Amino acid sequence: MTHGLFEVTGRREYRGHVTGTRFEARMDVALQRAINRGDIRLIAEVEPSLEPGSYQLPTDWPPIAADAPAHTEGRREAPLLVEGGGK
Amino acid sequence: MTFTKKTALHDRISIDGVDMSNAFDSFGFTSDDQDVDVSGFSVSGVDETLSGTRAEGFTGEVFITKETEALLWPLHKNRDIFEVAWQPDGLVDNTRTTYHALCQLRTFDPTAQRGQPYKTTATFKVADPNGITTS
Repeated sequence: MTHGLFEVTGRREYRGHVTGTRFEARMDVALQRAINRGDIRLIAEVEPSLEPGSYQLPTDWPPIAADAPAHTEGRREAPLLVEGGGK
Repeated sequence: MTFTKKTALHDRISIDGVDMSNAFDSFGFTSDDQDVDVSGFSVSGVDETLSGTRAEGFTGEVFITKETEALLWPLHKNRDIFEVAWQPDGLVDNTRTTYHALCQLRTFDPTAQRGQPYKTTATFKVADPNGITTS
């Protein structure tokens, strides 16, 4: 488990969340200590993901070829040696 | 020009994510550079120094209660590294700067004195190379 939905069960705020509220966080040793102390409890495991339709690309993306940034490196397929040359 | 002077009454103090503001009646931090003497002979004879290693940590007076014991004693006993955060006036003004660092509670020495509230000095030593940072 990497992420979880937690509920604040202690009498004091936990990470700025008041008692009774829920928050999502990446699991770490500090959260495990808080669970052991009874400050929070794990409600559910969470798999971070982007739901289809919950995001939108910028209106100017993808850029048209003319506006694309120029390559600053040589083309990968450019030959390093020329046959018959070097004399 | 005037300064916005205030009485210290509403500081927000967080230990390992838990709001401990009401458990402390004083809090602060120190960031102390060691003086390294690089003096040579000179006409003035004045010492010439450079900054050496830096030691940082938070210190506060905390009331010993069953709640503070339950939080602080395991952190000390297990030598845990945990976040300490201090926001002066933060309980009433969340725009104030927060000072925070990953620390260890190296000493835990609660004592009782007859007729006095249970209190102790909590010293949190910074245990992370980033030191005390702000947000």
